[in-house]
Amino acid sequence: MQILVDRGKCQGYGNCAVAEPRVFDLDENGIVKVLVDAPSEELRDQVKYAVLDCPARALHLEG
Amino acid sequence: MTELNEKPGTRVGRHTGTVGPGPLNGSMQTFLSEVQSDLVQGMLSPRVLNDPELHQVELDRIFTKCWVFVGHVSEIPNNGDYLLRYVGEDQFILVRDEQGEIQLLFNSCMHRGSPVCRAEKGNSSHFRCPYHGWIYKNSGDWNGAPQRARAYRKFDGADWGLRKAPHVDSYQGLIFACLDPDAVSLREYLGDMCWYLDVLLGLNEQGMTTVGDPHRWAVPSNWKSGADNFVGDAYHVIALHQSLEEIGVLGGDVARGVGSNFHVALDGGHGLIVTHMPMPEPLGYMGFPPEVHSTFDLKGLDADQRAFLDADHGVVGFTIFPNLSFFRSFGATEPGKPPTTFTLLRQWQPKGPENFELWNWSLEWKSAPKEFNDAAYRAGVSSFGPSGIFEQDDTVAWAGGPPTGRSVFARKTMKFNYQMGMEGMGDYAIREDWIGPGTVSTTPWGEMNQRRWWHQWADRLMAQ
Repeated sequence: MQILVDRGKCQGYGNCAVAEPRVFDLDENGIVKVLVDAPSEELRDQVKYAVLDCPARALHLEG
Repeated sequence: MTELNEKPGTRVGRHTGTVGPGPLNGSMQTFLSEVQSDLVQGMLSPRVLNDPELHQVELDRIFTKCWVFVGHVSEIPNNGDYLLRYVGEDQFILVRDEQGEIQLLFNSCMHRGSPVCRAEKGNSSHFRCPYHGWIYKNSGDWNGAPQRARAYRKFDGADWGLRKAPHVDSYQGLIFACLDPDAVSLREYLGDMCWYLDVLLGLNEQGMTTVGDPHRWAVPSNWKSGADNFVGDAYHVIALHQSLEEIGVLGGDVARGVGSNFHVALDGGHGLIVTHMPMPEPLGYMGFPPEVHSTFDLKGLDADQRAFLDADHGVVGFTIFPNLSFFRSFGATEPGKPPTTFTLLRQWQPKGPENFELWNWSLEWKSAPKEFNDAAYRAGVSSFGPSGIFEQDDTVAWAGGPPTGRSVFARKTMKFNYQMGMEGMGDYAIREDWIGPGTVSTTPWGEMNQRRWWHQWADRLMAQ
């Protein structure tokens, strides 16, 4: 499982950081920061939810 | 680009807070002066138990000025742990931030005032307002807003973090916060109460921990009735709680037990009901059985504090001004069973002048065996709590305050009697030979602690 992020698309909604704070954080400007590029399998459901929840479509999941 | 209805050159503003209480009006000043002079004669107007105007003054001059209890350190052990808590009637988020610092954040978004945290407890690195999505770190710092790059280019996030208590500190596991930026330190505010907190909560390094979440329920009474009771009212026990004796829950001679109590009044309006109860073998300090007593390690206490314990003293109740109380006594888990020592923290949270919310935490020694802690918990919640038998007695009695307090007739014709133990009344005197700090009485048959609590209350409302 690999997270692809397009920081240019991020609009700072923060849904990802609220959905799974172990994987997503926000930088000083409120833009998404991925803490773990390839999270472990047990986090899949939460990560999937966080990706789907992004209103700016800045996140994608591969694998 | 300037909006059509804004003058050219309009600049974005910065919020500047105001501190300090609003002025008292003349009639309130007159009333409070009367309260002060009445107290000297051992009397108190019933108006203090139900008056919307007075209630606002309390929120302004007591709850935004005093150190107020907000929780126990064991409730938020990990970074990100949070709870919703109250100072006065304002809701705050008590949270351990990512740096491990305890913060008390006002639960209100800086954009439109919606609560940013909607759960009573949990763990989160951020709080996001559901309205427009403004996001704050769990330290309270502003961390972003949706569409920031298009909508808030000139925005300085440093100005727009959640409002927070300027001071948060803890003593013996009790977390207090103060909303007054110019406040004295917590140690100074608690003063000599620290000495007693040590002997009650600091009997070993592990200390005490909360058991589960606090029970909370609505009581149709004024918050001050609870504080007034726990600061010194040993007198009511024999009358109001007589039924406990009758059904065998107290399992002893209540009158004799209460008769061994006395008062300790401390500066700042704090006060305690201290016990002197030699325990039958093999019970140890404050009635703790050997399997608990043996886990105590008094190396954190000084010689006087150890002497207090060795002389069979304990504390049945206290109030830390304004609204935190403590209870430690015995109760049976069921009639006929031997009594178990239990420990509670109790908070009287104002909800308007004629209602309060009662919060009740059970505490247990981390070092004690599970069997003992379970029994102590059951004894505690059977005594105090929504189903507690002491509780039912007390709260029914306190419910008399608001109807009396709002009665025009009562305000014209009544003063409550606070004269017990005043000069010439009896053998209630000041003890000179006390090993601890404070002003100490010889018997429980007086109301020094209550009068001093109310003096503190009136003085704070009158303070310039």
